[in-house]
Amino acid sequence: MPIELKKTRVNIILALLFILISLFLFYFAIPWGIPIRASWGGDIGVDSRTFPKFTAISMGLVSFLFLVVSLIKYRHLKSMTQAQIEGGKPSQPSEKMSSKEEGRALITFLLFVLYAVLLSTIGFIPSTLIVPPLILYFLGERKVWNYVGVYIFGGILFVIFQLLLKVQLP
Amino acid sequence: MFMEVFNSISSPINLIMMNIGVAAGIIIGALPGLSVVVAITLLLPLTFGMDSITGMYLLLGAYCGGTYGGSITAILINTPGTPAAGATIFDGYKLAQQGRAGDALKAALIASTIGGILSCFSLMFIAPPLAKMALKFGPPEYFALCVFGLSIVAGISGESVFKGLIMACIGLFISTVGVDATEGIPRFTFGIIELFGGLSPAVVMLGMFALSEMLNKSGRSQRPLENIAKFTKSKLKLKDILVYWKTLLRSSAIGIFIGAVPGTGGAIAAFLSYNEARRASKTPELFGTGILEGVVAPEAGNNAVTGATLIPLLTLGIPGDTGVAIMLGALTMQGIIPGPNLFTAGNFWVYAIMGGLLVVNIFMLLQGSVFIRAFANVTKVPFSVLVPSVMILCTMGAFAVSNSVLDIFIMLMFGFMGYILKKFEFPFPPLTIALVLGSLTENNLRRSLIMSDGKASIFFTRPIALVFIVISIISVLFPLLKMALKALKQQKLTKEG
Repeated sequence: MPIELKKTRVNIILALLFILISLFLFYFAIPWGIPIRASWGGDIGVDSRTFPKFTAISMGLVSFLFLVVSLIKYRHLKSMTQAQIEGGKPSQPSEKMSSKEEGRALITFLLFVLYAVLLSTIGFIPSTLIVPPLILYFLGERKVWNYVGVYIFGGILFVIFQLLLKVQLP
Repeated sequence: MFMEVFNSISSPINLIMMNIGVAAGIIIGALPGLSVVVAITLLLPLTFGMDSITGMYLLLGAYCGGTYGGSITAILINTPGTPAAGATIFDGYKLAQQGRAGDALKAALIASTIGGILSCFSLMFIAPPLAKMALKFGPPEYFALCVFGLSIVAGISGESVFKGLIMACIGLFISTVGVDATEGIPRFTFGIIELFGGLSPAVVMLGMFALSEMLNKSGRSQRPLENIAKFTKSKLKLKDILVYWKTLLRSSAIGIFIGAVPGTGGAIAAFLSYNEARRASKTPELFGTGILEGVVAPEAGNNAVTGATLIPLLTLGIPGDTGVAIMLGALTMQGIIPGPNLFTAGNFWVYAIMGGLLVVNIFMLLQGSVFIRAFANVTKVPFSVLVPSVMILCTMGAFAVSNSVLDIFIMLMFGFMGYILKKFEFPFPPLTIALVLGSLTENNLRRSLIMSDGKASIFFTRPIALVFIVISIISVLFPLLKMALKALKQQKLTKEG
């Protein structure tokens, strides 16, 4: 399937998803997350929920338009041949990440989360000693000096935040 | 006042911060894939404990340095460090291949400095009269102005205007978290006291811009590095670049004009400057083969944007691009609300910023001249080292916003969200602009409606407000119309073919 057609199909799903999100925000999140004070807003009809509701409606409308445009484009692309879609130009090599690369990004994210959890439990210094080397090793770094470099960078940041900016790190 | 401004600019701490900002900006801008926006975002947490002027100098340094730094990657590895350096590739990389990388880097540096300095002067002369005019604005005009500021997201959304508008809606929605300023009602706080102040733009941006980019980089960390051209010492003298004075002036004028219009930015200025230089040249066929004029034009153009983007920020409180939107976030956290009132209430502050920007450009020239080889080596830093380093900085930065661990987890959440949204090609600049303008828009909307007893006609009966509303509608509809015309043209071509 040509890339353009695939992209349009994904856009249709995304537009539907954002329509659902805006409906969720309008009917559930806003009434649940914003209490109303009766004495306010009665006269002019504007209260704490008005602006969030306006943004949810705007998101819904834009998503709906996005859906309509994507559907029209999809129908149009479907009626074309691959050569017509590409307009005579060869397909560009995809910049998309492979599933292996995506897995690597996800594991890195989990290591970021681990760093945040350790930081809040055992403190900045021990967590910085443990997690960054794990990330370096996981990303394939084997040069010792690069490990030392990251530690030095962490140390400089510690001095800047804790001693110069007086931030009380955990 | 002159002496007060001079003393502020020349104080040691301010001079140091300008230099740190410039150096960090050049280094981050020179790292492939990390933009000037990431440079400003990463330095943002450092400004929390600083005086507002000192903090702004740091960020302005990063803004100017980062815009120039992007050209280093463009020249040495044929990849623009920032989108604004996209046009520098055409001749910059060709020069590097011819063994003249040093010449190209020096030409880029001098052109960037000249563009930046001319832009500063434009800020000094255009901003005060504009602010005087804006002093007449009331809440309806401000609301209309905010709508105009938000409407620029259509222009900065890249290929998909709809995706940009959706991101702007997300940004506006996020801006409503926290205690409502008019009624004091907590919104989406779920009883968590740390959320009463709202979600800090700094935390959101650290996640969306810096952390998500690191996740992207970590995924691709095993890919081979680009072919880096060898650094060679420059033999150029200043007069060799001043030969192109006409190009320098023309490109700077283009950059200033583009920068003063919200929603445009350095990339447009650079490409336009390059095209204009080629069009005006007696030897246009040489452009793209590796000539200095092809480097001078885009670099003067993109750096001339830096001062001009501060014109709408300082006079109207509207950020011209994403980098300036982050600065606006930093200023509001410091309790400074940019706008015409600054020119009356804090006259000194405004002129100190203008003067500081001028000095920042001079420091950029000095640092670039002395440390150019070191900056060029930055392009060799492996992603595997960059990822944990940025993680530590982001984590500490998010914590420093309000000494809260919760902010670290919020940053992680937005980092992951940014990573996913980027995969589906959702642009981040609209979210940033909407996030920083959200509360200002809502407050002025509510004040206006209180003034008019709830009648929306107040926005259409006041001339200035009406003008801004009309411009806003045009700004949103224009890209949509352009998109529709493009689709129609394509359809027609397909039928013919």
